[in-house]
Amino acid sequence: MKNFLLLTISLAALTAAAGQAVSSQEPLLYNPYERPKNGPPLTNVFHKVNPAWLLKKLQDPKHHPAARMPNFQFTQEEALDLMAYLKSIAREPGPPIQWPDWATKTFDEMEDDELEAAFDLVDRGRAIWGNARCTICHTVNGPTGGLIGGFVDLRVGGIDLQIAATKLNRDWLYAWLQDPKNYFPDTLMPRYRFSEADVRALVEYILRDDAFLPLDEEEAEDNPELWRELDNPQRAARGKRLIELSRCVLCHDIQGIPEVLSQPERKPPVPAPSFEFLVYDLRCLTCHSIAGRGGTYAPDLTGEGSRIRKPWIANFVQSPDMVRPLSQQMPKFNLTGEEAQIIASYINQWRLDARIPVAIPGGRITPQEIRQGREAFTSRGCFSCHSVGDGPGGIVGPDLTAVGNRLRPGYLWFHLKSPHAVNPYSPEPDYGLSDEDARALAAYLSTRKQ
Amino acid sequence: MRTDRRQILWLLALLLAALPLTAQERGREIYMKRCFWCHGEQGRGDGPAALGMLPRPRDFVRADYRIRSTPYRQLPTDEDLFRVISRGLPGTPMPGWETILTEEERWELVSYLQSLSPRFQREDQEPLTVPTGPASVERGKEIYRAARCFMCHGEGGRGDGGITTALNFQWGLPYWPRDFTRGWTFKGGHEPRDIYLRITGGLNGTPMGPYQDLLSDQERWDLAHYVATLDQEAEETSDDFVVVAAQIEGEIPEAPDAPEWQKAPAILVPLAGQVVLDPPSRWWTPTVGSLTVRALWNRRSVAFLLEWNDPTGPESGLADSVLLQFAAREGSKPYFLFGNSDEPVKVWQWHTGNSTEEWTATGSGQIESVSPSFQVNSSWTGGRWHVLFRGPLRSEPEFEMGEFVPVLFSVSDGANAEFGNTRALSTWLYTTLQRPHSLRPWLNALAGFLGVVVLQLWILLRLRA
Repeated sequence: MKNFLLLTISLAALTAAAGQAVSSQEPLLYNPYERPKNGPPLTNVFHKVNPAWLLKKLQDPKHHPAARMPNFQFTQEEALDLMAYLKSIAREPGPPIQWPDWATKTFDEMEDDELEAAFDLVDRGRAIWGNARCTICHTVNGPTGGLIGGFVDLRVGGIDLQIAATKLNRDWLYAWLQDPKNYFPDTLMPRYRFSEADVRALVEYILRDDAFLPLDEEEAEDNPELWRELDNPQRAARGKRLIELSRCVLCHDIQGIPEVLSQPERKPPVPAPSFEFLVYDLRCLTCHSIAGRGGTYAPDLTGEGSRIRKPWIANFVQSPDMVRPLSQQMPKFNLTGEEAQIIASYINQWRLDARIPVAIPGGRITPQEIRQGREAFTSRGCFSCHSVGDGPGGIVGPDLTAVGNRLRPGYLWFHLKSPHAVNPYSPEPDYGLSDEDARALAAYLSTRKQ
Repeated sequence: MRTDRRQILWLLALLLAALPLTAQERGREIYMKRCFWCHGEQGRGDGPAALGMLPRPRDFVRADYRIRSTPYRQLPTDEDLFRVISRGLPGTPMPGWETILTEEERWELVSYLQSLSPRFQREDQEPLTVPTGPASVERGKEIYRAARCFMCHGEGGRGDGGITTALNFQWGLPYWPRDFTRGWTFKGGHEPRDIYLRITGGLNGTPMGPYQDLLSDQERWDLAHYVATLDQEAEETSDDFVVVAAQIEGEIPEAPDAPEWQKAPAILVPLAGQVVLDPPSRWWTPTVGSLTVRALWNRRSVAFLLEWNDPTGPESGLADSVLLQFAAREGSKPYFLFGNSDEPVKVWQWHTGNSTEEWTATGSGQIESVSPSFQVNSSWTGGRWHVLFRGPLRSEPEFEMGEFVPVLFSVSDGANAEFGNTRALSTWLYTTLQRPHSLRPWLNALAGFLGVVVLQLWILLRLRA
């Protein structure tokens, strides 16, 4: 009896300990490769695009060269049937957004003061477009786009926005920029924390700038006569059958149409605030990879916690600055301080590389070693790629003025000793430094703080 | 008392062990002997031989059975499973067991397979009824368009539809709809009744959903009859192993549909996976299973028209290619892989984009590139490649009337990441020039006959005189 009691108590204690362990378990990240369907959901597509564009798309999907939808050879009548069904399933639109009076006018129709207000907004939108690094995924007309979009796997993202201005509905674009996952839970678009004023500026920029106009000036015609037919229930019934026959649900979510392939279970969203939520909400793994999962566009974060100091991470994700001037900058998501701390804590706690020491090996650093390091930095010509302070320096490698704030001392030493251990493609040459030299250089660099 | 009870238990256990095995247990024994190699110990489709198979063996635990006579998402009936075990699945590595296992043994296997998924305990099956009345192939053809069948299976039924290419190339999802022109690869049989069941109940776990609620019984029956008419390749070709080149007077036509080609008999050449030297292995999963060859010759040249079905054509990731390999010298039949030191071979090769290569080889390490002596024309229409080779008559090899030149064919499909030696290959066939049809033998015979008559008359006259 006594034994049994003891057993119960120890079991209870064990369970409690296990409970603790669960709460401090490594966060489970979403699977970046799991995307149930290739195409966007069509259930509420009527809120998103204008009917003239949709009619044209259905009849000639390849009109846009980057389009991936095959040509189903729908006649105009069939396309109208399809549209009638899509219209019948669209949910009630939300309350209309209040726009300024000039919102429906073109630049030509505006009064002087309206024109000024519109230009101001478009300019502001262009600046936000740049800061948010939209061109990493999206290609557009004109000088900014077309190049970078090519690096992102087409299956992962990067809708060509060249025709956004003639395609998208103003109210939809406003809601989309505020929270894309509300319309399309599986989208790869991150949720930027834009202010309302930011969103309005972006809407004006996307709907008015030349970069988003179609290359050919031929615009789909608005035809109110045709749109009245879309409310015909017989058309909707025919459209539903045609959608089933054409197996549209292989690629699109459409309400009321039975699935053909079995769908992966959609997990309930992880509650905020947590790293699981943030990594999904910002879609970090589109560009970064963690433990072998994710994109290769941005640095691999698997061992980032052993390399980068926690305060620097928190600061960087809030206001990303260029680390390497010759490569891309991370988008600015307008994260809150709390969100930045969650990200930094996760990396600091879970993304460690066992190979990298925490401190510079070999005991306390002496001031003499720091001096030796400074001399070695000059005598070995490090400044041909790196700059430190106001002195002469190159831009191939990162600016090292405040490298002590960014990199952990142990990693500085490790990287100098084996520059290609973490990133085999790092341009940093392997000088085969002696332990002594590596210690001195790492010591010097770790004191470079601001 | 206590020992008595234990003895009774032992006795009971012995009795149970001595009882005959149930059908399911006997099925398990057969399974472990015959089926395990591909379908795996647990029935998960992961046996030791599964890796080299396309399509992969069925996972009996997931129980997504394709070939059924039941509605969509339902399990197959006992008879469905029995039929597949007996006849196998054409076009896949699954053989028929009719001649190896007794009927009783096959039923025992059915019972074991059903024990691998709990769904068989819970769910009932209601077999579909199949119409028997007349059907209209014409109406079926219209339905094939209206029901958008061509979006996956292609306008001519060769599996080259827009959804197929979009899934394969834009999304990297290799779904291969059935090529309707090759009826012998229909897994569930190519009779209208079989096709009707596939259309009605769909194929579980594939983009081929059911049409039970979308088309009427009659419409599906018409459609099944239309699809059955597309299965022509075997009918229009022969499986002879001599490619006889028909003689024509004028120029050899470049168009694959020119009427001259109808003079040449079409030979269907089966292809299988090629041996790969490095790493030593074999290409188990080629996507091109056969090609059709016709040949023509005139005074100066000999031409071979090679045609094969390829749903992706020039859009494939890598280039497609086809080659002809001839024995270079008379009277030899060299080693099939680039010949051997005594018996050289000549190779003509074409790649997508009409680049050509010609080699002389005396073994796989002894390949010499020479400037091509032949011309090619190629086109890809309706999910089918047509590649025409025209080469000189008097060169190496020398084509002569009455002589048989060994020839073999090989295709690589870029969409299946095939290149180099990773390709589909035929065995040695022969090609020969057809002797011209002329009246001369008849005229000679007639002249001979007349000569004899004249001679006899002359002798008779002489004798009388």
